[in-house]
Amino acid sequence: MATRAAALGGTSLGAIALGQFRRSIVGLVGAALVGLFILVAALAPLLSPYDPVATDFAEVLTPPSAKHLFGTDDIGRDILSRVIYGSRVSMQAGLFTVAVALSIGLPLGLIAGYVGGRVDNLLMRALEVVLSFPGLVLALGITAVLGPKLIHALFAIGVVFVPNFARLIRAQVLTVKENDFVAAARALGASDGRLVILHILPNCLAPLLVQSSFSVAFGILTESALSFLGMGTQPPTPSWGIMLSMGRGYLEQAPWLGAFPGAAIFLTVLGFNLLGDGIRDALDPRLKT
Amino acid sequence: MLQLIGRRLLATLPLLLAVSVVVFSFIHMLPGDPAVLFLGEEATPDNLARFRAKLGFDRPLVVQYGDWLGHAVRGDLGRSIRTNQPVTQAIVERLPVTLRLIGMAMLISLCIALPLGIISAVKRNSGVDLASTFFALFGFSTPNFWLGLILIYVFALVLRWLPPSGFDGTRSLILPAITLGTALAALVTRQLRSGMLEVLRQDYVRTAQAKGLADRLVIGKHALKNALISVVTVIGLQIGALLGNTIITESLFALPGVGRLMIDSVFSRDFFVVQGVILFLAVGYVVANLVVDILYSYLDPRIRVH
Amino acid sequence: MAGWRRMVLLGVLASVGFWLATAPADAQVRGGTLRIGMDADNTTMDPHLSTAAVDRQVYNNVYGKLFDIDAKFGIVPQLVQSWEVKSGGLLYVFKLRRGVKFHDGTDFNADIVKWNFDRMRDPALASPRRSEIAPVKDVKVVDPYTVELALAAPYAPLLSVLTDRAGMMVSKAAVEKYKDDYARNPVGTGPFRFVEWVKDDHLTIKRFDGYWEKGLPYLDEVIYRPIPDQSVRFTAMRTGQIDFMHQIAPKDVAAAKAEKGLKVSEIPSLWWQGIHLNNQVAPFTSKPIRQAIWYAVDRTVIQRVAYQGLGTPAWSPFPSSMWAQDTDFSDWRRDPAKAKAKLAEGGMANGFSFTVKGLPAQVQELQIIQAQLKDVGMDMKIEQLEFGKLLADLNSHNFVALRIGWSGRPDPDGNAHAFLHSKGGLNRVRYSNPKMDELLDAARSEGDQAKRKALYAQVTRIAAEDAPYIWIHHDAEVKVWGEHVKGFEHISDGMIRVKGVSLDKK
Repeated sequence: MATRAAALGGTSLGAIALGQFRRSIVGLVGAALVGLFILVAALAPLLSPYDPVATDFAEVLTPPSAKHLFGTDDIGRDILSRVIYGSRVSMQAGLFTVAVALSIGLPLGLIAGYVGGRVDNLLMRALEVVLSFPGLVLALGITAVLGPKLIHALFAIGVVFVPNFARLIRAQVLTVKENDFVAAARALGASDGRLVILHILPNCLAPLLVQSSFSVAFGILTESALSFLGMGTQPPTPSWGIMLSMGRGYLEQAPWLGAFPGAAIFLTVLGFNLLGDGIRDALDPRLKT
Repeated sequence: MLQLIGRRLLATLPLLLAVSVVVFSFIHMLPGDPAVLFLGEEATPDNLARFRAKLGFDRPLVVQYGDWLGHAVRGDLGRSIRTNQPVTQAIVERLPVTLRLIGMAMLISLCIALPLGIISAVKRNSGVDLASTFFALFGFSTPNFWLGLILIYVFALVLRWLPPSGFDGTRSLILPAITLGTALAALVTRQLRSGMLEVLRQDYVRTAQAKGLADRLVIGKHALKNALISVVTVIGLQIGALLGNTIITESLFALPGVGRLMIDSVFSRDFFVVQGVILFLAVGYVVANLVVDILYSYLDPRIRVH
Repeated sequence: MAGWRRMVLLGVLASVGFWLATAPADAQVRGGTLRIGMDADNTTMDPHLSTAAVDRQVYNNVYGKLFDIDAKFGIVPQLVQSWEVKSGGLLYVFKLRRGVKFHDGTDFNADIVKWNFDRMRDPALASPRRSEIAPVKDVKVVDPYTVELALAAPYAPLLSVLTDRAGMMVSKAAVEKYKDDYARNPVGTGPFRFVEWVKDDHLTIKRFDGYWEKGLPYLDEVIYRPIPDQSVRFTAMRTGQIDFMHQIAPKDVAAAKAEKGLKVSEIPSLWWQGIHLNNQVAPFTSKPIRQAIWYAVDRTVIQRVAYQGLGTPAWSPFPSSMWAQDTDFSDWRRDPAKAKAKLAEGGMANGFSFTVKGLPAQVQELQIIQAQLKDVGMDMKIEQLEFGKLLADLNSHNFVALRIGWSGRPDPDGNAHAFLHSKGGLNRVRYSNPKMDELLDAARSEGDQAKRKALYAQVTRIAAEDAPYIWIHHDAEVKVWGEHVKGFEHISDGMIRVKGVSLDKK
């Protein structure tokens, strides 16, 4: 990055990127939403007015009021508190799925790109097989085999993301591998390991960040979907997906059950998507339209 | 051209084989003994042995796989443990609903995306452009089951114009199709817009405009055809997501489609049905991708498909 | 007015009045098709092999039964004309109705009755009815329309049992003709004959013109449509796609009552809902632990919240519709202190963790119980399964705790014996208490109802103490139909008898 900046003559690319980002409303809104989400998840115990699993059988299915800002659900739990705590489940979902995808995809992509040849071929074929399954179908299948639990669902979603990340890393590695400064470093005797860590990886950071942002969004969405179908989080854990599933049964009598968790998912996913857009636009102005 | 198709088909076969191996492994990846899972931990060793023999579980894995594959290519995917109905028949019965739903969803999304994408590219930074940008962002981020719930609430429960769930003819597919098609519409709008903008900036277009050809002619002949390629790309990339969303939509609207079949059979641990449906969906997906690839190379002969 | 004109006027008015008074209030119209929305599809059309409650609905209209029950659970003869009980309950003499024909034209007579009983008792058929009529040791044909049943021991519930599938008479000719395929080609003596059955789509029956009750049935045709999803079924009812609805979710009852054009009938049912605790798996091998759960559950809250106030809390297998219910028994109310004490007594003062299996439709109730148990230190996890898998796990003892309901039988023995007797056919929890066995067997052979009631009161007490099951709720029996449907008599067994039902011309 430093070398490229020097080539541009003057301010570092990083500064230019930040400038672009700041000027892009899209990215800012995204960052704000994501920031809000992280804040809510981190401060959940402080923000939440009630215990999210505390039941109150006298106040079942009450509409939003001063006492319960988002109303109560079918066994008297406060929906606002559950939405707040639900952000933690979603945060887990987003982070864990990306972590799984990275921990498997990163080494795969690195090896495939760096070693090349038959190893590369084999790995790419294997990824193609994974990609032959529609995402949700694969996640459902894996969860079905492992059992309906949140951690299994998140692992399954992570596996679905592996090909994307692996291919991304591989593409970056292939590009950077032939660079002059890498050849120079190698000529100077740097080991493979050093090359990878010091030179190749940093160049992957930017597209990885973009992909991660989108993947967190998708991970949250897919976890909600799996919980909605009954394959993810199990009661009484507050997950936005489960809350929506419950809301379906009471749509006529108590529409607020599904309205708020749905809005929460929407805003969070939107935030991560906008953030990803913003970062991508900032780092590669050629793609901006 | 035919050579191309033939080559691609041949290349897909080993992929399909690998897919079948993965699908077959599902049932054997279950923790514990599948026989115990079905019969319970108090089943006598006798019961267990008989069960295993009846389902062929006592043979070596490779033999079982070969047997299953042999039947599968002839269209026999085994029988449902719950209803004893042949799996293939169960899938075929439910396929029309799923296909109609996907078809309607694609139609609706194209009806929205084509005009919106084109106009917003031509009249850049106008009100329409802004609206379409918003639509693209929101449509893509909205969880499709939440959208579905909102649609049901407004159009089925409050206004009572359409049925809230269940399948009773084309009318019941309207809300599900809108739910399913919105995310796709958002993506296609975005892609079409940027695709068209890219083309509109090209020199040859500007030349044509300078020469005085009518705007509409320029757009119609050159820009659109090239932009359509990117649309096909997007749709191709989104088939997987579309299939996944179909499962959710069918569940939400209680439609008797293939997606619902998968969910129901996962819950009832009807493994042969799960296996059969996943294989069917995976093969369908690979074939759909193949079709898109071929379509793509037909539209743009400059692209060499390896 | 002149005198004679007044007389004429009075005469005319009197005749009109007389005519109005004697005309039937709701003249029932002949014809029409009744569409019934069911919660599940039939499993078989052979009553001697059926094990699902849903099957009985169609059977009640296609098959004639030896006896039926009325709204007050009185035994009403149907295919039997009159009967006598002799020898202290060891001999039953049935005089059969004459002039009854099967849908295939064959005659109904004593030979047919004997043949039906023999079929049910044949070990090769492995009929679930066999255990229901186990005390019947011999069936004798006395004359073409008289049958004698000899019992090994007095069996008070016999006539009750014969109001259900065990009393349904099947055509011998049809079984001999179709053999294994009979289940899809049923022939009975009921007011309707079977036409066709498309699995998971519809089952159609048509009026039987040779039905022995003249003038009945009114309807031309009845179509059963399985719609498992509750909200879809309810919508179909509201939009007029079906005329009659079986099983409605408690939360939809208020909306149904508020809806114009729908009639809702709510009466006590024969059902009980409860949790089966596997007595052979830790920690439920320990009685105090089971009792801890008994006292931790708050049944009144569950009735109020999960059932919207419909139905009644359950502390035994006997609902309020049954004379056997012990209304004096009160040791079932929630008592967290007692629950904790029992936990300590069972050596689990720090609580423990276990999993309950149940249907997704009951997750609200299960979450309520989950919260109530958590209150006293128990961690209950919920595993949702589809009905077929749930039943399979129940039957194979593959559970620690399992929540399921029993549709109930008119005689209290039918709600208790199979579950609480150590040799009971539905005792999946492997509960065994010799004193309980004694009481149940005695109540079964006792002819005097007052004495039986006293015995069942003791059963209630011991069952509560041993707590092999945690009885939670007795559902309300609710049916919903369009106001153009006339003549439906709602009986607590929940059966949709369409013999006397007609449809107003729309």
